[in-house]
Amino acid sequence: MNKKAGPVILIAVTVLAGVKGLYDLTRSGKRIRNDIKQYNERSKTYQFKQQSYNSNREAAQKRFDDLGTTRLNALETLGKAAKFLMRAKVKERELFEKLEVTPQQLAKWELASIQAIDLVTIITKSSMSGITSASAAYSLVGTLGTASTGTAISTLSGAAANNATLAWLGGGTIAMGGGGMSLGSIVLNSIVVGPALLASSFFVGRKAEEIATAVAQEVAKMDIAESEINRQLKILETILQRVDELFKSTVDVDKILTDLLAEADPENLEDAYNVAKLAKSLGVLLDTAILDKNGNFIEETP
Amino acid sequence: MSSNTQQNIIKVAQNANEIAQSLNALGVIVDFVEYLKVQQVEQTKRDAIAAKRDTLVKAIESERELIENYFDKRFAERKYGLENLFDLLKSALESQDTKTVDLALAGILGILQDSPLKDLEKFRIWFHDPNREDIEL
Repeated sequence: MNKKAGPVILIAVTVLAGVKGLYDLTRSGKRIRNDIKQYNERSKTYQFKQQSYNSNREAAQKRFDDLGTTRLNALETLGKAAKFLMRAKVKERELFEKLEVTPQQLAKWELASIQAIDLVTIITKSSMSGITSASAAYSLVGTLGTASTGTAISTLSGAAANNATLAWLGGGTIAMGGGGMSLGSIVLNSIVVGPALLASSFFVGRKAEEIATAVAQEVAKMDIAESEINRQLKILETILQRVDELFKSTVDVDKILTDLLAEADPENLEDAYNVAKLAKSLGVLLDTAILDKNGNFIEETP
Repeated sequence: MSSNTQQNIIKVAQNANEIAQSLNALGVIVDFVEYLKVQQVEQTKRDAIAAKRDTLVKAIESERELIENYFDKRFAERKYGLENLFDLLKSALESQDTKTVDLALAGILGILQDSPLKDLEKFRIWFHDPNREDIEL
């Protein structure tokens, strides 16, 4: 038997294992890098979406504020209408029967400014609580960038540290015509590094699989969250459509009533009638809430 | 068999255990099997994640579409009605037609006090019906 055949076969096997291990290690490393890159890119687009959502919420808040200001202005007109009707030459009975307004209601309109301020406050608070429900940002895993690869690399070193040097691997002692302990050490290192590379490739491969799953999980969360943001943006848009129709109607009725008050004669029953009707309508508009305390659309208007 | 060969065989036998430990061939195989297991388990997890994600995204997207379809139509109708009623109100005030003023104001308040959510459930059922036909809201 050729005394060098054993080591040669072993070296060949270990070299093959090493090549396979290196190939798999490289492939796994590349996969991890790609996964991390995918995660980072998805995070960026998700953050952009979040920023867009926050901007939309701020803009919506501004529109609510505008409606509040408009309502306060309209309240002033309502107070003027109340004063006009108090001056109108109509008997108290006629006031109620013909104009469908009670003296108590007139007094209420005069005092309504305080209620309107409260109303605006409630609406502002409600809009906030409704919209913020979907704004919880995902706590993104920030550790992926540092995970795994270092560990994998560290497992590559020192794998052979505890192995004994086998002189026969050197083909026998120098005295016997072999390579001796020194050559044996080199050979030993070679045959250990090969399988170690292979084993490490399995370890890194496992880690790559786990990272791929973690990335898939986080990306899926962002996909779902982004869909939810899109849905919330649509709800927000709907709420604002409601705000806009109330805003525009309030402005229109307020302007019509203001114009009428500028020309109306308190002694003219038709003028008084129209002022009363418009003032009542404006009062109803000012009392119309959009959202409940929880920020939900009000389904039934009382 | 020469004495050198015999000595070598003895040495090989003596060192076989140490060589086996160095190579840890069994360990490598165990690692490989473990890797295959992990690969399969993680792939199953990823498939489940993707399936769940797809289901949820589809449901949310469907709800968003429903909201969009329903409210866009609803508000367009309301806007059209309000514009006409305000025109009617202005002309009625100019002509001192108190009855029409009444009617126009009642119409305006009717629209504004009518919740835009009305009929949403009806629309939702229609929207999710695979055999749906156009309906008037």
